[in-house]
Amino acid sequence: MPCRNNGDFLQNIINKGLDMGASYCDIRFGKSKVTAIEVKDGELKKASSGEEEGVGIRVLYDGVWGFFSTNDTSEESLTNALTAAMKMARSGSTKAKEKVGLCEVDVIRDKVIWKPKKDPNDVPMTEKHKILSDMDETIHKIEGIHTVTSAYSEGTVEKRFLSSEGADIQIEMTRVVVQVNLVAREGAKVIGYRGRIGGTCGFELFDAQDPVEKGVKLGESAVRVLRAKRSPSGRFPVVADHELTGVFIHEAVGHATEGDLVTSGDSILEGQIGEIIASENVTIVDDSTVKAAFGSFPYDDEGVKGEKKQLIRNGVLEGYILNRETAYKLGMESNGGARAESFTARPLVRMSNTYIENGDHSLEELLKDTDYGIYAKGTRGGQVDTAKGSFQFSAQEAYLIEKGELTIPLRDVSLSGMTLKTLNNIDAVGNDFALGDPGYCGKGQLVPVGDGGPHIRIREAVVG
Amino acid sequence: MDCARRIVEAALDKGADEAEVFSLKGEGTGLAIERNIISSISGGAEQGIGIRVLKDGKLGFSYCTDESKSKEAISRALSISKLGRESDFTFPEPEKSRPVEKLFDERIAKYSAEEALEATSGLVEIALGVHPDIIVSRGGVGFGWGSFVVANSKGLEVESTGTYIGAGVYTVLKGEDMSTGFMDFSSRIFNIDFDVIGREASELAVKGQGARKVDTKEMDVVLTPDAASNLMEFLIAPALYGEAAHKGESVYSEKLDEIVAHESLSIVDDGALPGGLNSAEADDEGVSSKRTELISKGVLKGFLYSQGTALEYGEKNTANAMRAERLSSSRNYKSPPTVKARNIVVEGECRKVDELIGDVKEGVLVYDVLGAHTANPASGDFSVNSSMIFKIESGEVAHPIKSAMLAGNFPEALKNLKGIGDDYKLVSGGLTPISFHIPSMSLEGIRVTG
Repeated sequence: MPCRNNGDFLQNIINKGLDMGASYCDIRFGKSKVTAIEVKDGELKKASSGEEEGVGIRVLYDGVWGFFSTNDTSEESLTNALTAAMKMARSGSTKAKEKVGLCEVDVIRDKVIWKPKKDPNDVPMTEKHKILSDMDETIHKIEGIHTVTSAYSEGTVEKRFLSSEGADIQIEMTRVVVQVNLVAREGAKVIGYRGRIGGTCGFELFDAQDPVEKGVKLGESAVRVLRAKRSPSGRFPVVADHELTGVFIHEAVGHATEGDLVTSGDSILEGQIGEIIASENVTIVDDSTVKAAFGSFPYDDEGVKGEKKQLIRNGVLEGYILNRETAYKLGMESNGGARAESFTARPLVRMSNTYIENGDHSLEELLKDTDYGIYAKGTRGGQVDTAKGSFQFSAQEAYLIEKGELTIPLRDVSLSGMTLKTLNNIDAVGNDFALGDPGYCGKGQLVPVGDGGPHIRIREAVVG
Repeated sequence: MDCARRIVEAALDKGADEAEVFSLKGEGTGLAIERNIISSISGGAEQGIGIRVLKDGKLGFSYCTDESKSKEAISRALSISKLGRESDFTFPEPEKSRPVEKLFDERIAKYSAEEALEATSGLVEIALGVHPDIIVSRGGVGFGWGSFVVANSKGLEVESTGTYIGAGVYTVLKGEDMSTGFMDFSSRIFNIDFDVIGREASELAVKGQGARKVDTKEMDVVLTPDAASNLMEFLIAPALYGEAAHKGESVYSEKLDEIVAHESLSIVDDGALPGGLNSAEADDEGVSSKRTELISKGVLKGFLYSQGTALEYGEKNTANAMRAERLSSSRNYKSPPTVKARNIVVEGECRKVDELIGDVKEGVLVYDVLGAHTANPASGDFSVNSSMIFKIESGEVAHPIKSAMLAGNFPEALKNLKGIGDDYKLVSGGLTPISFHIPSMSLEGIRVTG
């Protein structure tokens, strides 16, 4: 079968959609090549390499969406997919109480190749394996480390987006990730610990970040946490490092600014544009243009250019993350926030790289002014109820702060609270910005994201 | 089946010593609800082939979307196998598999988007009818069928076909204060009652009005099936995997035949549970699904194994090989098999949920937990937030709580189990294919932070 990344072939399907009565139609072709290796305690556990391609077809009929995807890219299968999408939209339109509208956007025809400096496809498998074996061996030398599981994966995606408005965008990009999961054990005490490095780039990732060094840092932290005391619970001042700050911003603020949650009544930030929602120290952006960052992309999955979106400036809510549909509903413009996990899924409003911008305090200053509190680092993830504005997230490593000094190491520090209250409680923002470990955000579909920020201090948070 | 067999033969021709083909096909439809309306209808058809080859004792894996691309996939699998270390791995032998009941329902296979649309609108109407200020903020209905074939060079050939249907909605009520509600239902057969889902989601949000703060202290916790399964998914199931146990990564390592839970509690994994959300005739390596006793009346009895881990640790294969991507709950041809629980079934002396609550002097009734996936499976320690939570005082549900954090050690808490309910529910995992048949669970001594 010929490769289906062919403009005329795909355009022909769009034309058929218009003939069938669609008012708008887009088609996303995707082809991915993924290689993954996993090593556990020196042994290769998984070695996998595969390719997949397919298309997703989206039609708008009488203000209602229909979508169908298939990874059988024969002309017949695509025509069937189009027919199925049309049928869904048609039947939906009989029940529709509200019609979908799309905001106007620039019609773009472009080809963007984010070529990695060192294409992982040109790197021999043995070298990829060696990265994991070296990490494994070095981390195992740390006393207290019980097991080490490390995984390497690379993915090259070729995408093409065509719309009935005339857009035709081709994108090629590569992502590389190394993840480590550790178990540290001493007697009956046992803990899990994890970390990741990665980016939208090639093998040059490892020139900038040494996986062995990262692994050793994680291993040493894991052992410290293993020997740490259980955290006190209650309300305390908390100083969060760049990674925990990033997860807090992602979970508590980022999700609540997602246009679909805002328009569906599921966000505490609905109707809050122009209002003061955070302390004036706080400026937050979602930026899909950060070079080589994990959540970056040139165009979103509706053909809109990725941009740096100002969400909160000096405490004032300035914007949401929007796709074309939610922008239309809110009378705003799309800022390139539509992302789909792959061609198999319809694009949703998603974050890219979300972070809090630098303030002007050093970490020492943040700590110095804290009489009794908790310094929390890294994260095991978090979750949020955007409607109520409550959040939960867990730190990986933590210390007690007493009279401005870090004293006792703590374990199992988990923070929760109400988003708006916590944003107002950020009484100091550091000047040491960094992105945290790359992540995957789940909202029915998984997409790669980045998040981070400088150290911040929250005057009061619930620690459990 | 023929196609899988042909690819196995082709892999042997290319030089593999042994080969296995996993071929998947399926089709599904989904309706999304956003702010009281059905915002989209989408569907998809998927097919794909995962190929494992064994060459010189080393395993390699590759995948492709159809048979025409399988030659390249075989070459990739053979080439990547060279990385591996030699082991005694061999693919499973064929064995007679039993049919499993209630996995396929013609009514679901034939269910149309139009019918689903009608039912989903009905669900939304019912939900909205419960209270004038209710918003059905988001939710969805999904249904479809899937089938997989496993064939290997030992002559094993298995096919399993099943259907599924599910619906879930979130409601928001902005009255005196903000409260939220949730309800879902999943099944392999067409026994879904859309109206009940809508009504209960709204009723929970109505009940949530007038929330108060809660004091910070240790107390009893009654977990609904949804909340209980969420904690089991990330804290108990992974601790029962053979490899984690043998490697000393689990709280249950070296505890076989010891008392690890309350003497009334049994936990079973059953891949052949009739109608189970993760049931099939065989696992994803083609091994007949089994019922495995993990904890029996409080005593640890066994762990879960796939072909690879069973051979490595000299244990019996419990048919727990699943192919799913990390953080994904659906079966996938792009991932080589790893060990996952199938259907975790919680058994014991069931009592009415009212009685469980009646036994609580001071405690909380928990409908949802946030952040269970951030818990520490190696230690069993957890700290989660709940915002659909009610205070229990003197055996009665007293009032809703704004939001509270629950923390403790879940395996320890199972030792202090006060009882289980009779409200069994089929629940699918959030971020894994692990499924549950689970009732409410009442536990003692959980730290609640208000």
